[in-house]
Amino acid sequence: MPIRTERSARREPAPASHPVGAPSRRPEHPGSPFTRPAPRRPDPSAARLALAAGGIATLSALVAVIAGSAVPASTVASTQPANTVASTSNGATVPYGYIQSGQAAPAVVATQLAPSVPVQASVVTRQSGARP
Amino acid sequence: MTAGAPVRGPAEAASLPLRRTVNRSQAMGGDLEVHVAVARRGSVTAAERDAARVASRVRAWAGRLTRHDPASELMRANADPRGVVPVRPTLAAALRWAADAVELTGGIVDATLLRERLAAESPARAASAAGAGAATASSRRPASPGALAAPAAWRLEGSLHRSGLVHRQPDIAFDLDGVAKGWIADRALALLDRHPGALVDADGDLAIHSAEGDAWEVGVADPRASGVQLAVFVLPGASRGALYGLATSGISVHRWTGPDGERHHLIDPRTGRPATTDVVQATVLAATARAAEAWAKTAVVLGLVGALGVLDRAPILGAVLLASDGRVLAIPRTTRWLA
Repeated sequence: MPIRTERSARREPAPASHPVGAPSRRPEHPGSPFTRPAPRRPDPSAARLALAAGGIATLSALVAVIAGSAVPASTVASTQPANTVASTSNGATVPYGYIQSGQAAPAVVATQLAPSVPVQASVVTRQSGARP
Repeated sequence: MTAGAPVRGPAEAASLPLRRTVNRSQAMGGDLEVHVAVARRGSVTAAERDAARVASRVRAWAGRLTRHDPASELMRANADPRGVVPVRPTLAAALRWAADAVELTGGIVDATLLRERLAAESPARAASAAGAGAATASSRRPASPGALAAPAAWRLEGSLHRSGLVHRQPDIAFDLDGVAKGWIADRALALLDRHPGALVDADGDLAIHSAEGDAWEVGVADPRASGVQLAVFVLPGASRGALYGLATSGISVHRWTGPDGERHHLIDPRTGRPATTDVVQATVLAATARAAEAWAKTAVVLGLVGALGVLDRAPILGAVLLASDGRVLAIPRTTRWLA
C-alpha cells in the first residue's frame, strides 16, 4: 500500500515500484520522477521574536554582571564598619568581615566569651612585666 | 612527644594529676617559674634539683640576650660598628628564631626595632642607645603604613647550635625582648624532657609539656583587674606527651605618657611607631611558646579585624583577644581548650 503524504508537499510515488519502507536507490535530481518540491518553511516571525527577546535578556544580564564587578572591593568594605564583630551574648558565634584593600576574603567567625571566668588557675599567661 | 594532640579529654586527664614541684625566681624583668611534674615513682628531690638548674640556665640566657645590660652579648653586638659581627651560640640561636619569626608573621615581628622602642619610651634615650652615629628610626623606616622595611637588612650565617656571623646594615640594632622570652621558655622546657611533664613560665610566656593522664590549667590574666582571669586553658597530655606554648602580648602594661599622648612598647614595623590598635591584649595557644608569642604580638599590632583574620589562618591552636571596648573574643577553635 502506498504511503500517503501531503499532496502539496510530495508527489505520490509510482505504485508498487518499491516495497513499503524500502529505501529508494535511485538518484534524486531535478526533472526525475523523484524530485520533490522545496518543503514549505514555517512562518519565521515567531522565531525572530523569540530570538530578539533572548538577545535582550542576555544583554541585560551581561550589563548587570559588568556593572557589579566594576565596584571596587574597597567600596564594598567601606559600606561596612571597620570592626564588624557583632555585640552578642556570651558564647555566641559572631561573624566579622576581613577585607583588605582590593581583596574580599570570605567571612569567618569569632566567639565572644564571658568578660571573666569563675574558675581560677594558679599559673597564668600575662603581658610581660605584669604580676601573675 | 606530640604538639597539641591530646588523646584524653580535659576532664578525664585532670582527674589524674601528677605531683609537681616549682622553682620561683626573678628573670627577664619579671617572674620566672619552672614547674616539674614528678613521675609516679619518681623523686621530688630530683625534680626540684632539675627545676633549679633550669631556672639558673634561663637566667644565664636572659643575661646574654637582654637590652638592659650594655655588657650583654646582644648589646655588645649592637654596639659593634662592623657590618659583619661574630655572635656566640646563644645569641646566634635566638637570632635564628628572630629571622624565622619575620618570615612567619610577614614581617610584623621584627627584632630590629630597638631604636623605635627606645624612642617610644624616651626620645632622649633613643639617640644614645645602640651606638653613636647610627641612623635614626625615622631615616630607616618607611613613613607610610603597609610598607614594611626593606628585606635583608640583616642575616645570620652559621649552622645550628654554633656561633655565627651577623651580616647587617650599619644602622641595625636588635631588641629581642618577647622573641627571646618565648625562645628561652621552649629551650628550657627541652632540658626537662626526662620528666613526665613540665611548665616553664618566662615572665608570662609559657612552654608546657603535658604528660598522659595529667593536665595543666593556665589562666589568662585580665590586665584590667588583679587576680581576675579572662579564660582558663586546660591542656591535657597525650600518650607520648603533648607540647604547648601559651603567650600573651598587649599594650596595657608598658605604657608611657609623652608630649604627643599615650605610648606603648609594641612597635608597628610599618610605621616605626607604637601600633594603633583596638586589641588591648592577645593570648595565643600554639605548639611552642616562641610561636605563640610571635602570633600574639602580631595580633595586637594588626588590630581586631586584621588579627581575627590572620589568626584564623595561622598554624595555632587558639587565641583569646581582649578588645578595647571590653569584649573578650576567641577564634572558634579555641573553645575546645577552655575550661
